[in-house]
Amino acid sequence: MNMRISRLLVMIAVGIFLLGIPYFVTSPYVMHIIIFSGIYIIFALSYDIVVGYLGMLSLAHPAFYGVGGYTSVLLVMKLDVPYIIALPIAGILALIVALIVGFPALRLSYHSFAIVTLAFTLIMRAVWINWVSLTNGPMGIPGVPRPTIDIPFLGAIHIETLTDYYYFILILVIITCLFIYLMIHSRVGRALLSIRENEVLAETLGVNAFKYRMIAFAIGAFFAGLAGSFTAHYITFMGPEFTDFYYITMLLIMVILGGSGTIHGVIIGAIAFTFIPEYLRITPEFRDVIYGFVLLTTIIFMPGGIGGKINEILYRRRVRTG
Amino acid sequence: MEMFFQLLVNGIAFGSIYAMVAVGLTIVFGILEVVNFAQGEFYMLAAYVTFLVYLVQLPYPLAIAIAVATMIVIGLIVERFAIRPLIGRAWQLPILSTLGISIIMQNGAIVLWTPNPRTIIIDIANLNIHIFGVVIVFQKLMIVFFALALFIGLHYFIQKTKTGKAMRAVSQNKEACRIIGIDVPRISSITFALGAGLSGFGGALVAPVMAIHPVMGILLVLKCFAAVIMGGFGNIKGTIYSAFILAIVESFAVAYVSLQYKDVFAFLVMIIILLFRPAGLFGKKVGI
Repeated sequence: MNMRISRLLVMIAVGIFLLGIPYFVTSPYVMHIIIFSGIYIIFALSYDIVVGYLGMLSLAHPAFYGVGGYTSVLLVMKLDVPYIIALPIAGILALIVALIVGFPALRLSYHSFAIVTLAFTLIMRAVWINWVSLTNGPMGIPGVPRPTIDIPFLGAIHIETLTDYYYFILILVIITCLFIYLMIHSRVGRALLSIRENEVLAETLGVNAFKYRMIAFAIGAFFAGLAGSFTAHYITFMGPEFTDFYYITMLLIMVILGGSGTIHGVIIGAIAFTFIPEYLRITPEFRDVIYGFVLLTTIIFMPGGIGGKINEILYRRRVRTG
Repeated sequence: MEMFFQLLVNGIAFGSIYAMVAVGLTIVFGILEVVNFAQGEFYMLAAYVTFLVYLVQLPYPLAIAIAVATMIVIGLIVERFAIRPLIGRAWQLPILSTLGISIIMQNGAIVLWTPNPRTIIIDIANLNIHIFGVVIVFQKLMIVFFALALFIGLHYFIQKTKTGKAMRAVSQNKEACRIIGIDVPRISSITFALGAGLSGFGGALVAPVMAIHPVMGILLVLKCFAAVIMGGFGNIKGTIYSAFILAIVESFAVAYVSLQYKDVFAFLVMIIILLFRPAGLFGKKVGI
């Protein structure tokens, strides 16, 4: 069969499967985990732009997630901004914060960049915990309203049930995947890969490394902000624990085990590590010990991750069949 | 004025601890080019070992020796299994593997010893000494004294001994070291064990004056990273000065600015300095 037709058929089948999930998944609990997988796919893919494609170890990602979450929650609750406007603003504010942080941080050496971004996360966390009048401190903000999307002439769509949320996050995931896919296969993506592989050579070819780093760092932050905003309005709560160090570990495992620099691998990693902890019913400390081992063994034995392995197998097959 | 000197003395005492842990980080970075996220956990584990030895009622100096020796052994094991296989591969892999080790140790400590803080009570350590109206706890004097002795010893070790010279050579050019017959893996083991031992010494020294708990190393190691970056990665002297600067700034900022934002000042100082000097206060190039 023709390659292109078979690929199209696979995509249609996947599409039907994704649209049909709310009809054959009856358990609300499983549905909840599926929605969270969607959130983590966006979160991990946006992180992979920085870690995988840019090749910089940023530890500021949970901070952008928090910026997005707090922004949209405060806009909706304190200023009565409609959610459909608050959501992009959450992403854009995270993007602006990333530009401010990136401007000094992206000029540093790789190692300093990792530490400075981590320091940024800790500073943001301290602000959210201590600025009680705005963020309600460590207690967090409860009772975040569920999203309502006003569409002119058609009336308002209230997003209330799990099925509604599922379709909403599905749309966001598809937008994110498409955006990242197109970005990687554009001039920007090629520039990023050239900088990752050999910065000096890229610069001599006229690629402005600093500019493209800023672009990638900011875009990653934008999608992290969207994920943060969606999460807050889905669980109807926003608090500083979303910026916990645990999330950095989790993201790293999703991206590294999934395969940094691959879209399908990161999606697999994100889904796997949303489901596994839910069914691994042990104390959080024990779970974290296991996570540590997973991270360690992946790095030592399979640094390309699952996505890297899949690419390797596909490549070998292609070579064999000619 | 007494307040001023009191804060200065406290800053110097904490600076000695920061400096000990930070020097361990900086030599490991300078020689192996590895950012060791598990450094804070060596500090934490050493404090726990001190606590455990104290429970069986052995004298405190022996507890320090056992704690440091244990950390050196653990450092050797970690280096062998989590660092050496990654040398020469992508730069972020060792960071991630030490991060993995740090997570394992931290949560392992919670599983083993519960998150509840522990304390060691040693009478002489908590003795208050009054000098011109400034009150100093005896243990803090000991910390400063040991830190200074350690830095002098380390300086001598790195500048004068054959191993120290080999370490400096490895930090400059690994290929050339292999050619002239320096055992690079051995130097790598020694360096990592030295880093772990320094951090362990710090942990054993603070055990009588601070609460011992599984996450005591996290913020410390991050502030030490701030000191390492400010000092210029791999620059031992710069790191020591920066550690003292950070600790003293922190001590004054807590008293005069804000207690809530206590843990933020070190990072703010680091970021402000990096804005103007991206290579750090004392940094030129990597190398010790």
